[in-house]
Amino acid sequence: MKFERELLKGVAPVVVLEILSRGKMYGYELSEAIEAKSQKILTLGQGTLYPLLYNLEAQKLVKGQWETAESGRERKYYSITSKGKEKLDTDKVQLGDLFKALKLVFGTSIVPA
Amino acid sequence: MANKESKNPFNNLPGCAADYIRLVVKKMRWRKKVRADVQAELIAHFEDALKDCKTNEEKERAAKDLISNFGDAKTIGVLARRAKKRCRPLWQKMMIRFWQIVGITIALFAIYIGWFLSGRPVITTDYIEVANKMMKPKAADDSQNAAPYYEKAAKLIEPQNEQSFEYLRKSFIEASEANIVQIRQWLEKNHEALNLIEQGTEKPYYWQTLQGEPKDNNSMLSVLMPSLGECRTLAHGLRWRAYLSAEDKQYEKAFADLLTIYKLGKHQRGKSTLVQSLVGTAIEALSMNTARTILYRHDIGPQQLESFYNNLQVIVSNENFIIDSSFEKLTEYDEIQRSFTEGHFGFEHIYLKRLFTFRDSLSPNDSHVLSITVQNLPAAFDVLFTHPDKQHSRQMTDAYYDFWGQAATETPFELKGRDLEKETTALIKGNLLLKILAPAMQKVAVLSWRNKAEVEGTVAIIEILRFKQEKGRLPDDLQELVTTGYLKSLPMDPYSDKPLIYKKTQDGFTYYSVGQDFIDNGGKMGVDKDGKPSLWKSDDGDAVFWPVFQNKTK
Repeated sequence: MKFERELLKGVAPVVVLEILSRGKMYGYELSEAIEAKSQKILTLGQGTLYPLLYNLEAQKLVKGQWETAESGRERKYYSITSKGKEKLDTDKVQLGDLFKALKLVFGTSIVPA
Repeated sequence: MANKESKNPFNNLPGCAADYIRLVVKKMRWRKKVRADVQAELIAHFEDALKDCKTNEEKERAAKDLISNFGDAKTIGVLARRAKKRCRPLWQKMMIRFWQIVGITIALFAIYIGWFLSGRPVITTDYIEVANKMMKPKAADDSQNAAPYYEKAAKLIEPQNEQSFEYLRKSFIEASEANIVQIRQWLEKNHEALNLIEQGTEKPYYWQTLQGEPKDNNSMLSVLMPSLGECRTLAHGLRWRAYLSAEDKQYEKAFADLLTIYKLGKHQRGKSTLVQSLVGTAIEALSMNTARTILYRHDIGPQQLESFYNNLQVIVSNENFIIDSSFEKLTEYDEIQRSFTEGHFGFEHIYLKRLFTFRDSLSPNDSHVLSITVQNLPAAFDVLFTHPDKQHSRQMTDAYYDFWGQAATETPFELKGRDLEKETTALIKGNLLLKILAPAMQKVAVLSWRNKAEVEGTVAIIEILRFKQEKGRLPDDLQELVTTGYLKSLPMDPYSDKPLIYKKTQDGFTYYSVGQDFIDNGGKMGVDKDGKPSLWKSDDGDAVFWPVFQNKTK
C-alpha cells in the first residue's frame, strides 16, 4: 500500500528502529523485514531506505558495520544503539498517544465507513 | 568491503542495475570513499534481491522492477549525500566549518582588495585656479603687482646652489675683509636686480599666478614657488647694502634699503604657501635685525630716526603677523580629491597609488608607515579597512586648520602648558594622508608671534633712541614714550603677555622678551645649542633686542 509521503515520513524511522531492535540487519534484509512484518502494508521505497539509514546513523541511533553474511558475502549490518533504543521508547509512547487520540477523534474505528 | 571482492563489482548484476547504481553514486558528488561504501551497499542490495532469478531475462525484469521501486537516481543520490554529510564526526564538521570560514574570508578579502585596487580618483576642482583667485586681491590690476619685478630680478642673478653667495649670508661680525670685497662686487654686479626689487616693493600688492606640473595632473603639490631662494639672496644683498651704506654714514639710503627688505618680506607673506610665508617672515626679521645692528653701531640724528620710524610705521601699522594657512588648506583639499577614489566600482576609499607617491617625502620616523613589512601590518590594516574616507578627511582638515586658526590668535604665554601637537594629532588620528600632509603649525604660530615682538620691539628701540637724542636722556620707562607721544602703545611680549622689558643700565638700556623659557633672566642673552647668542633658540635665556649682541665691540 502506498502511503502519503508526509504521513510515512514520521513513522518510517520508528519502524526501522523497531525492526533493528530485534536484531542487526543489512539493507535488503531490513526492507524485506518491514514488508513482512507489516504484511506488505508498509512498503518503504527501497531507494529511500538507505538515506533513512544514513540519517539514523548520523544521529547515532543506529550503527553500520561491514560483516560477512551467512552467504559468505560482505554486507553492511545495521544495529540499534542505546541512544536508538531510548529514542524508540520515546517514539513508541508518542505513537501510542497518537493512536489513542486518533481513536478518540474517529471513534472506535478509524477505518472509513 | 564488497567492492573489493572482485575486480568488477557489477559482474553479478544486469547492465541496467549497474548503470542505475553508477548513476546514483555519481549523483552523490561526495567523497570517493563514501561513494564506494554506498555503491557496495547498493550492489549487495540488488544482488540479494535478484539472487532467486534463474535466467538473465528474469534478472533483467526483476532489476527493472527494483529500479522502479528505488525511484529517481538523482534524488536518491542527493538524499544519500545529505545524510552522509550528517554522519561526519564533530571535529570534522568543525574543521570543515573552519576552512569554510577561512575560504569565505579569503574570498571576501580578495573581492575587497579587488574593489580597493579598482577605483580611481575623480578630479572635480581645479584648486590651483581657486588658489590663484584667492591670492589676487579683488581690487588689484596687473600694474599693481610686484611679482613681475621680483621674477625679473631673480632671473638676473646667477643660478644658485648651496654654496652660492655664502658670504652674503654671513653676519656682520663674521664677514672678513675679503668677504666684504666679494659683497661689494656682488652688489655692483646685481645692481639692476636690486633696483627691480626696489621697484617691486613700491607696488601695493604681490600675487603670483601659479601653475601646476602637467605630469602630476596639475596638482597643488606640484606647484613650484619660483624665485624664493633668489628673493632671500637679494634680501641678504640689500641687508649688506644697508649695512655698508650706514658704515659710509649714508643713513637715509640704509633705512630705505631696510624698508625695501621689510616690504619684500611682507609681500612674500599673506595668502601664499607656508614656505613662502616663512621666507617672508624671515626676510622681515632680517630687516629688523639689520636695523637694530645699524642703530647700535651708529649715532643717528633724531630727524633721520623719526623719518625711519614714520616710514616703518606706515608699513607695520596694518600688518597682520599671523601666518595665513589658506593655501595649505587648499593643498590638502586638492590632495584629498586626488587620494580618494570616486564613482563606479571601487569608490570612496584611499587611493594607494597616490599614497605611495609620498613615501620618499616622509621623514624616517613616518616613512615606515608606507613600507610593506610584517611589523607594519597594523598600519596596512588601518589603510585598508579603517582609514577615514574622503568626506571625513575633509572634515578633519577643516578641524585641523580651524584649531590652528584659533591657536594662532593666542600668544605662546596663553598656550603655555598645552601640548598642541598632541591635541592636533588627536584631530587627525587614524588619517595617514593628513599625517603626511599636515604641516607642523605649532612652529609656524610661534614664529608669527616672535616676528611681531621683534618688529614692534625694533620700532620701540627707534623711538627710545629718538627720545634720547631729543631729550638728552633715556626714558625712565616705556610708558613715558607713550605719554609723550613717541609710541602709540607698549609692545607686548608674547612670552609673558606683559610689555617687553625695558631697563636702564650703566651703558644705556636693555630691551628684551623673556623668551621661550617664559622666565625673566634679567636680560641675559640666550644661546643656541652651539653656544652662539640667539634671540629665540634658547631655552634658558632672554631674547635680547638691545644691546645688539653681535656688535659689543662698538
